[in-house]
Amino acid sequence: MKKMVFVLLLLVACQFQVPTRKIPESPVIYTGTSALEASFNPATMGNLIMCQQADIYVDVKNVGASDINNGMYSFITEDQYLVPLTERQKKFSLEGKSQFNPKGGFDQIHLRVRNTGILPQFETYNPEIIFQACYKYSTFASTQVCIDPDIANLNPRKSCRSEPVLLPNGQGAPVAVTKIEPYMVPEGDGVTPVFAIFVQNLGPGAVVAHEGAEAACKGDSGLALLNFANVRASLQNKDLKCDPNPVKVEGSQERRFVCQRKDMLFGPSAGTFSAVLTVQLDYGYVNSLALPLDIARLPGQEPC
Amino acid sequence: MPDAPAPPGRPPAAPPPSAPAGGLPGMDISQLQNRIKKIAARHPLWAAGAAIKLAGPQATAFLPGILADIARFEAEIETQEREKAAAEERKREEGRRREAPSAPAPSAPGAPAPSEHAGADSKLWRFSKSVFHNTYDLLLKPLIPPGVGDKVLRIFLISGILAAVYVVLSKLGLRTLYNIPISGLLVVAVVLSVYQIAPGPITTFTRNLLLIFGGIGGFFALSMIPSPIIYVFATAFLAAYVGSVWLIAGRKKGAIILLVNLVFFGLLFTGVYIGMVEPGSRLHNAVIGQQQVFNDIGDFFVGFWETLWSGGRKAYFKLTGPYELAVEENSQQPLGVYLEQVGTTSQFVTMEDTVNVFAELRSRAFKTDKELVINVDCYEEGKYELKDKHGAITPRSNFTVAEDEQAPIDCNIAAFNLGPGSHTVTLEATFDFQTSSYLRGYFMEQAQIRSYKRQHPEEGANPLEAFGIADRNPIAVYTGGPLYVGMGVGQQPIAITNETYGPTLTITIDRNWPEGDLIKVNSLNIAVPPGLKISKVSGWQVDKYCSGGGDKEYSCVLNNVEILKRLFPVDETPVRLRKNIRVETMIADRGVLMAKSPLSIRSFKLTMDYNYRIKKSQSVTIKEKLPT
Repeated sequence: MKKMVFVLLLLVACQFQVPTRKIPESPVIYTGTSALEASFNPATMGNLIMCQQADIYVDVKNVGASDINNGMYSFITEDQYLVPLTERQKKFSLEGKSQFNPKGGFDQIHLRVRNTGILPQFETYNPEIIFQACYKYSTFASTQVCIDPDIANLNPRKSCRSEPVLLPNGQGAPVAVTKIEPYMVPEGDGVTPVFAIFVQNLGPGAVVAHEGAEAACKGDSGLALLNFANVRASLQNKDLKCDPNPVKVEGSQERRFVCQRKDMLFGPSAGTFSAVLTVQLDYGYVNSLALPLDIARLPGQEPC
Repeated sequence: MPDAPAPPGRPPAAPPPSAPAGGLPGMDISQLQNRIKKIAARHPLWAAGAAIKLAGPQATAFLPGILADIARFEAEIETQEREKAAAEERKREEGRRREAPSAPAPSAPGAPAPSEHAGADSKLWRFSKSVFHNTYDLLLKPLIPPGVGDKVLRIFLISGILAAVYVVLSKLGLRTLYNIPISGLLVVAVVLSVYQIAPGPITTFTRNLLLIFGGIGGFFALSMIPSPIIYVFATAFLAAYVGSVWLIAGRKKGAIILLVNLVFFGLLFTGVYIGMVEPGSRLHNAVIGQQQVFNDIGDFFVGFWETLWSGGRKAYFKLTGPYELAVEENSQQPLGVYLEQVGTTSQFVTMEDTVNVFAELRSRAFKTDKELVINVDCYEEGKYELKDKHGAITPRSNFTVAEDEQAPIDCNIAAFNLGPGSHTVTLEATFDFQTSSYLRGYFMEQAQIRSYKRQHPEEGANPLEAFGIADRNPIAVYTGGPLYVGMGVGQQPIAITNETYGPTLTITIDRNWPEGDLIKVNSLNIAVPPGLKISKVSGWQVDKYCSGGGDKEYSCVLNNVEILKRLFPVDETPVRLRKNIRVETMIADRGVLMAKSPLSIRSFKLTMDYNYRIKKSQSVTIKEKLPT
């Protein structure tokens, strides 16, 4: 009997939930590890008949926190079979996520190709179309760090402790600051804060030099081959000197650089306090996407 | 073969033993001689052997064995004589019993008197019998010693068996030349095993002889039942027989029997048995049937093996070789020219007749614009050079076909031209055919490849991953048909350096069908991507055969006799497969090749025109006259 009453009470409690008004969540902008998201639109003709033309549509979305300005896209096609009828390479710009555009900018890129035929005796041919977007991008990371001149821990009631800070969710860019390790380096009576900053490419593409972003889509060597990100860091609005700078961001390996300022000295009188450390990484980024096509010859079809 | 006691008065088969030269100490020689003499009537060969042994210098050494044999034979003779005496006694007793009712017996009171008619019969029988006995005793007995009748009967019996075996083998189709020795050997073997001439070796030999040939004999006996299942069963029987003998008789005998049976079984696939038997006979059919079954089984396994081997080899080359292959989607469909339903109107023809071999000539899905020409020919296998061994093809020997077509063809050869005996007639179709192939290549700057590899030091990292390309190790795709044409350019992506040399393309031509031959290559059309240029083909300059360039493909059409002769030497007819051709390239225009992209996708293309020949054979037997 007791059990039954309990079950009834539970049911009633579920049924008569007090309606609450949903407060819209503020858009999360500086989070995530993507910048440009590209995908072939379903309207793309994946199957075409020999000698026919096909329209390729690519949906591009900037879901990162930075704007893309003067980026470049490029289609790589097998020219022996597919001749582009529209521009293969073009510049593009796309707004990033912001308070006013919480979903980020969106665009659709179009390429028209014509098949020039397939080898005699073959019934089908399966070429690939590769879409590549190359653009400059930036990562902005800011976090509170503890400046603690009391390295001997004489004060048990400190407002904060100098400990590593983990940033696991990214900052709305493919290259993310993943961890900051503050070190208080004794310098005379005081300490100089030194920050070891860890970065990693968590996005789907590849990092190229900031200046070489366009070259990466044009096939130029040189800058496009350098996987460097330029670093800027500041503490209390004072720029820090980082080393190495630019930092190499290769593959998905975690890389470390150290930032400090020699003249930034905190004595015991300054006490222990929290300060905002901001890190900015500027780099070029390349996204690639492949679309398999199927070209079929109609029975008895003449060459193009 | 004498085994029974020799008749009295007849000299023994072996001479009586003479006194040993060296003498036998402590032995009464004359007594020993008498004992051997007694035995010589029954075992003449042994007696002769004993005499030789006793006359020799090692008589003393042989003596114990001889004495033991003498004791054994004497005991044997005594037993036989006792049995004989008992048998004669039984016979006499029986005779007395038979005669007793007819003899006048003291009449029992009340007993009926014997009838007059019965008494007359008995008298006549008794009279006839007494005349026969008296005649035999008086005239024949001195002339024909006792036991001769038995021997005559045995001789008749053996002759009868010999005749029967000869007739049976003759009816089965064994030629007289082979029948007489085989029948004789068979009967001699039986006689030797039944009538023991001498103890030991001969009997053992005969028994082993029968053991050895029992399997193959049974094999042929079973094979005379015309059914493929029975043919297979006959082989299984032979295998089981040899296996059983191996298990029962031991490894040594088993190995000998296995060897002999293997040899005799192997002769099945030669012309030996066919030459020994009359065409159209049961044995001939058995041999032909067995050959056919094994040919079919062989074809099946050859086909199976070819598929396995070809598949394995392709897989091997895919993993390790200089080229890689894939098959065009539709190339699994039969593509080419086939000779199907090949047969003969009659497997046996007379000299006055015509050998007819027929087939369905079938062409399937060429997928080319031009019509293809097929030439059909037929001739006796191994005698292509002789004109009179070629047959006439009807309705015509040249066919021009486009897509799926089918035509019946007949080959007629005058049996007289082939001559009597067994012949293999080959029907062949030579046709021109085309096989195309392409290989997709990914080109990248070497600096870019190196940069990627630095970033991704893990093993197997491929820069194509960065472009989202799934097929990172493209393989050559070729159209179906008799040949497959593979291509390879080494590791992908192809690195473009600052040098002018380009990638080297390896073309591999190999057999796609398990049967047939590549007779001649008519042309080889090699196209390389825009921006590349062919510098050499297998070390030969080919500039004069090439065209294109700029932003177009650069292609070389190698249809000139001079260059083809170098690539495919004339003395290699049919062309020896597998054949590799190396195509060296150079970079003519880097900008065109890379098309201002970090990655360029380009294809190498190849089209080969060639003549291919397929063959099908049929066996026919030409008889001098029809079997009666």
